[in-house]
Amino acid sequence: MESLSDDEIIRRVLGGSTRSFADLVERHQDKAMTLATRMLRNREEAEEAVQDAFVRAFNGLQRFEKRSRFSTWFYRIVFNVCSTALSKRGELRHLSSEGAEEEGGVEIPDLTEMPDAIVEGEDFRRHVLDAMNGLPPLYSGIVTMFYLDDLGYEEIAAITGSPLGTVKARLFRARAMLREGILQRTGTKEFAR
Amino acid sequence: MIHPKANELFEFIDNRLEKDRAEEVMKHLEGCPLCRRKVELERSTRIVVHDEPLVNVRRGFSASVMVRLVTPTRDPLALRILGKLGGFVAMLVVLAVIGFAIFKASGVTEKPDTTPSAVPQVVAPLSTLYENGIEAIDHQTLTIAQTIENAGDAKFWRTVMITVLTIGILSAADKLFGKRFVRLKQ
Repeated sequence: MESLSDDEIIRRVLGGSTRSFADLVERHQDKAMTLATRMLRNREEAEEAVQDAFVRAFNGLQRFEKRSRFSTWFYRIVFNVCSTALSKRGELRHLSSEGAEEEGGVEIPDLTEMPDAIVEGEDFRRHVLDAMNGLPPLYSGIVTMFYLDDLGYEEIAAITGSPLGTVKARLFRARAMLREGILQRTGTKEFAR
Repeated sequence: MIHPKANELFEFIDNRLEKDRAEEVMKHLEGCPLCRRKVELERSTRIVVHDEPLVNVRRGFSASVMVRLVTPTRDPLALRILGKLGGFVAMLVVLAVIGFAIFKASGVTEKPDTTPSAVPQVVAPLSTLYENGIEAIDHQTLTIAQTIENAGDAKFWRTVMITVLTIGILSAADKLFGKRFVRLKQ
């Protein structure tokens, strides 16, 4: 099967081939779904959010200026749709109290008690995923973009619409929380700061 | 021993530290098992999340999206207002036709008093124009009515008229209230 680039598909869609948009949907749906699921923690809501995002992307495709990759632009839409859903649930309120993060002063737990083999095996995987589920939705979304999609700080800043410093602070904070969550689950008692 | 700050370790792992500082951190890691464990834990965490399978959408997801794309969405506000106005005008026309039909059926033929004497002298020419217009419309209506009567099948024409009026009223109501009482198009 012919594999077209995102730009080529977009050119076709803008040329009137609405059907070509299905290729973009199939190419990006799973990653978008993963991000939405991590943020919303509800499969049905996540799927609805991703559908909304695709419809918005289609309607706004004329405005896509190709200064960034389509995936970045589309992720931004997904992120915004999910953020709106979280706002309605009142789950973005904690952001107003995260000012201290701008200083970048996050601490990592003391790992002197951590067993050597802790970062291996199925148990570790389970602990990581459980800890991910324990993160606040926004942090979970940012960490997903960072780890899963290998997006850089700048791309995440573009997606979330936040300043680079804020993104770095949130990312460091999220990773520190994730690490703490993993250590709690592995039974490492020492959490000196 | 002075350990690198937590954020510095993250930046080191992300290859975002300045070259000189990165070399210092590297040297520190060689002699600090604690910081090495932090780095190891961070890298292992990253690998687990990265390798985790994506959340798949349900079957037929892309088809659902495409259906939503081809389904007409709500028009902009201005167009919606225009649409409602159009519907309102259409409804007025339909009501006028019904009113006219009832008026004719009840046999009321009395003309309104539009004698020039009742109108101020200044607007007399307009009044004459109005009267001529009314006469022309009446003549036209009479011709149509005679044609229908001559067809000899009043019941048939009444049915046609009622059908057309019903569709007209429902279409107008559809446009006016934004509901799809009558689906004339997909």
